[in-house]
Order: sequence, then C-alpha cells, then structure tokens
Amino acid sequence: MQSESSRAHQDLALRRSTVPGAVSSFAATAHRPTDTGRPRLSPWGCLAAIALTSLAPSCARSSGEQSRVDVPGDPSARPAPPLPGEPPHAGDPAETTGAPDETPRTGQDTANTAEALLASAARLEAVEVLDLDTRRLRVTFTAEQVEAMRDALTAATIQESFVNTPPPWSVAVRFRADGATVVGVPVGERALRVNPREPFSAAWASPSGEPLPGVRDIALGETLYDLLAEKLGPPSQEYRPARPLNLNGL
Amino acid sequence: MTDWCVFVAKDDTGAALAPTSVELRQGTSSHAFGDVAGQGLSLDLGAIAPGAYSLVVTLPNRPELPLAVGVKTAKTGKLVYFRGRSPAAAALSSQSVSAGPAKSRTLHVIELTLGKSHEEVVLVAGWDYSGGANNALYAKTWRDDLYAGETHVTGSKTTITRVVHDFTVVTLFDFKTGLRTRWLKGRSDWHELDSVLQGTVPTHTASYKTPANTQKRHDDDSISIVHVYDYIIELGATAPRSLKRFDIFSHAWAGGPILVNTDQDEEFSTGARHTERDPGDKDGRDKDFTATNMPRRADFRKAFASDGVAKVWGCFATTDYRRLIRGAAQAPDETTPFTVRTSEGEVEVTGERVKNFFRVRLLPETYMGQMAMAAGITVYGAPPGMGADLRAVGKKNYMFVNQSVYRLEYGWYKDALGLEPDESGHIPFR
Repeated sequence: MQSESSRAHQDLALRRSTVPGAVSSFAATAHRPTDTGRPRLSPWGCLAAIALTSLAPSCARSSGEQSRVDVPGDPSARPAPPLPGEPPHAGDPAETTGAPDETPRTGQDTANTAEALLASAARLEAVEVLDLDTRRLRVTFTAEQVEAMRDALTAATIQESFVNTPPPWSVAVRFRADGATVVGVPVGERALRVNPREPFSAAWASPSGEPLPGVRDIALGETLYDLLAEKLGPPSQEYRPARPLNLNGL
Repeated sequence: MTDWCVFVAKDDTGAALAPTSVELRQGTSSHAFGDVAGQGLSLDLGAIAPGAYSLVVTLPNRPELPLAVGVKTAKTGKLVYFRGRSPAAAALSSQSVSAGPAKSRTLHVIELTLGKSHEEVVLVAGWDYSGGANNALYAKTWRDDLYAGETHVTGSKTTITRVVHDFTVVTLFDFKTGLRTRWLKGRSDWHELDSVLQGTVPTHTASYKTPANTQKRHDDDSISIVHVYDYIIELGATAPRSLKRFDIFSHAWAGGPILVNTDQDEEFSTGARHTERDPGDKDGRDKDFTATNMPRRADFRKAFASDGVAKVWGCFATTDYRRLIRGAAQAPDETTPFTVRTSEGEVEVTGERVKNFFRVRLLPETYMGQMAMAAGITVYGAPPGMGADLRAVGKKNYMFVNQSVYRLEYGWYKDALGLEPDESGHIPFR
C-alpha cells in the first residue's frame, strides 16, 4: 500500500516547467551575453528573424487545408516548400517527400529544448511530421490541428520521469513558433521527447544509463498521438500494437 | 608448516550442513576437499598454484554455489581470500594447530551460513534498444531494495517485504551485455559469484532501426529468454520451491517482455508453426508456457516458492485498451452502450462487455496471465492500457506506472475487476 506522502509526491510528478533559464520564446534564446558582456545574435537567431517575414505563405497554406500525407510514388504529392532555416530542395522536383531536415545540430545556439517549446506554445504556428531516419517531411498539420496542438502544448508539463516506451511511429515532429523550430520525438501515447543535442533521437540515456543532458519528456496528453494515428495509421511494429480486440461473444 | 583450507557449512539456526562436495575450480581443473580426521572438509594448499578460483560448494537439494576466492602466497605461507567483496554469509579465519614440531598447520577456515533451504531471486534486464537506458540499473536497485526491505519506487521511502537475505542468491540476466551474473550479499556491496556469457556471442546492440541488425540479433547465438527459462527449470529440478522472485525490467507489451526486440520468422508468427517458439527469437512470448515450447514446465513450476512472485515491470501501453477503460469508467452504468474509437475503427460496447473482455479474455491471455497459470504464482504487470515510466531517486533507479496520470483507469480496475496496484502501480494478473 502506498503512504499518503508517496501519493503526494506522485501528484507532484507532473509539473509545469520552472527550470531556470527557461525562455519566453525561441528567438529570445538567440540573445545571450558574450564574453564581453554584449548581447550577440547567433546565426540561428538571424535566420529566425529573417524568417518572420516569410511566415505568411506557410500559414496561408496551412489555413483551412487538409493535412497532407506525402506518399512516395504519388505523383500528385509535391515537396513542401522549405521552412525558415532550411535549405531549398536540392533533389528531383518529382521527389514526393520533403527535404531532409537541417534543423538543430550540436553546438548551435538553437534552444531545441522542451522548455523553449512550452514557453512559446501559445504562439505555435506550424507543426510538421518528419521521418525519423530520412528527416523528410511526411505530414503537415492543418490550421485546426495546429490549434489543437497549441492547446495541448499550452496545458502540457515537463515530466520528472521518462516514458519507457519506444516511439510508436518512426517519426519526429517539428514545431515552429516565434520564427524558430523545436523538434521532438513522440514516445508512448502521451509524451514528446525533446533532445537538445540530437533532436532526431528517442534516446534519453547514455550507454551507461545516465540521463543525457537537457533531454526532457513533455507530458502532452493524447492529442498528438491521436493526430498522428489519424494520419499515419496504427503504431508500427516496433511498438507492438494491440491484437485484434475480439469483443464478440462477451 | 603447511597451509590448509577448511570448509564448514551450517544453516541459520546453527545446524551443521553436510556438503556433497567442495571443490576449488579453475577452468577445467578442480581440487576436491577431503574429510581430514579432526579437521573436517579440508584441502592442502601446498599443491595449489596462486590464482583465481571458484570454491564450488554442493549441498543436497541446492544448486552449486561458486564462491569467488583466490589463493596467494604470503610471508607466512599460502592463504585463501575472497575475491571482490567478501560475502556476508561467510566468515574467513585462520588458526594454527600443532601436532608436534614437525606437523604444525595453519588452517584457513571458511564458515558459510546458509538458509534452511536454497533461496534465489532471478532478475532480467532487457536491452533498451530505443531509449538507451541501462535496465541493469533498475534490476540492481530492486535487488538492493529487496535486501533492505524498503523501496523508493513510490518516490518516497516505503517498506516492503524483505526477500533477499545474506544467503539468497541473486541472479541477473542482462540482455544488453549477454551476461548472467550471480551474487550473494557482500559485507559491503555484493559478492559476485560468477558472470557467464549466455550463448556464444554478446547481444548485437547496433541500431534497432536497421533491419539487418534486427536479423543478426535473431540469427546470433546470443542471450535469449530461453536461457532464463532453462535456468529456472534447472532450479526447479535441483532446488524445488526456492525461487522467491522473478522480475523482468524491459520494454513490454501484451505478448511479453521485449528483451532485444527480435521478430519471429513468418513461419513462427503467422505461419504453420505459429504456436511454436522461433528458435532465433530472443524475446518472451505468451506461447512460451505450452507443453510444446516448455516441455519441462513441471520443473519450471516447481522452482517457485509457495509465496513466489513474478513481475514484468515494462509497459502495457496499448491505446485501444486504455480507451475501452476510459469509456467504461465514464459510462453512466454497465449496460448503457457507448462508442470507442480503436485501431480497428469505432466499436460500440457496454461497461459489462469491457469488463468481461478484460477478465475472461485479455488478462488471462497475456504473457503475465500465461506465466501465472504455468508457474502457479501471482504475476504482476503494468495494467493493460498503461505505460511505464523511469525515474531516479538519488542513486536508485525505478520503473513505475504513474498513478496520477492513470487515476481514472486505476479506479476502473478497482471497481470493475477488484484489482489494486502494488507500490509501483502494477496489478496482479492472477
């Protein structure tokens, strides 16, 4: 049996992020004191600032439009236009999937953090689903779906624990707000794992089992899972999906 | 002056135990202890080369116990010592005896105190192929908790039944390294009895996303759940009713623990031999406990103590099940139909049908349910529909099911099925 104190502790297991250094927006993270004490604008911050002016077409595309699932071999599918900070497509124009993601890499001042994502959740502008391996675009959320994700992220918390479930689909999700992007990997049915150094990784621990610096699980509820299931179908084999329910005769 | 190693065994009431044999083993060579008048089971160390050995003790109705010892030459002569941490269950002392000036001896006496019968705990740590966790840490924390009689799995200190004593052998099958390691409690930390590679090669731990790697894991002669079953089966044959706990820390699903995430060949998954275990498969499957796949399941059952418990600590995060529960929990009564969106489309059910589905079909057909029937013990697992989380409390590492996140679901399990969670949020499947 559990003690009252242990229950109380568990009630605290989910909390709103109050991590020191959590930022109010992605762009804000681009400004940090340099060694000279003067603020500097990182290359990523510059890209983010420039990108603000190019948001409109992307939003217009999303508004009222059905989310798109890019199907390899489908001639009607077109590659997505490049996002801010992402190079234009270099491949064959007939390529049916999006360009590989070129977002945050180790050593860049990009704040690919759970804290940054939650801090800017209310201003979420776009959500895209990328293949975890190829980093190519698979799905772009509609405005309505972005709004649902905005609500989910606004209410989301950072967990004190890590979800012990492999990714249900081999995808990452790219969120854009305040002109910057954060990439996370859905884990289980209710969490998004954000890794500052390796955005396209579901790992939370080093080979020795120690938590990787900065990796966080955001407790999202089932909104993202539901939207992904709608677009991608039931979880793939690596998640080992439900067997047939077979409710007959009961 | 000669040096002798003398071995004495007793149980925890002080009654003498009579070993069938005691041997000093190194590789394939061994030196047997003999009964020396007035001295007991003894071995003359004069002919023993310095080095690392196993002192293998065999007692009736117990498995061999291989204490890790060494022999070295000191100023006073040869002596024996424990390698690594000294076991808490053993005392080592030296005494000089003399039968005249030419016959004085130094006796290095190892006195081992065991339980009345053998007791063992078997732990399994799966390879966390996607998250990077070292699941052996969770197993070792649980080992320490079972010795201490307290746990922090709830987030704060909670008393639990003390299962591991100084004489309890704790065995860990680590699917990341491929090693089976056994310990006795040490005077500090743990005394490692042995560490043995299962199969002929370690687990191939390259990226789980590459099909060729998955195939290699399948094809390799590396650690498998069958090694674990075989170990328990031998335990049942040698030391019946000795297994107090069997805990598996890994990813999991309804069909069982995912230990290295191997696929079954089609023949064994959906083909003509789908009821048989795929010999290359390394993961646990709910079909493992049939007469075909476990011919010696009587010995498997015999291994477990009457109060033995097994537990699969990993997830059972199947969304369809969770939605059925939430629908039933929120329905006005058990007979009013409601609609649930599932991976098979929308289904109309009632609370009663959901309850019956879980009780009659789902719970008994899971890996936990099947093991419970085969072993005749209570087997715990994550409640269907719920995922497991990982957390650290100081230097301790725990898997648990978050009872805050799943409050509504836990309420349904209690009200509809009478199932209440243990301290880590897992429920009994029997």
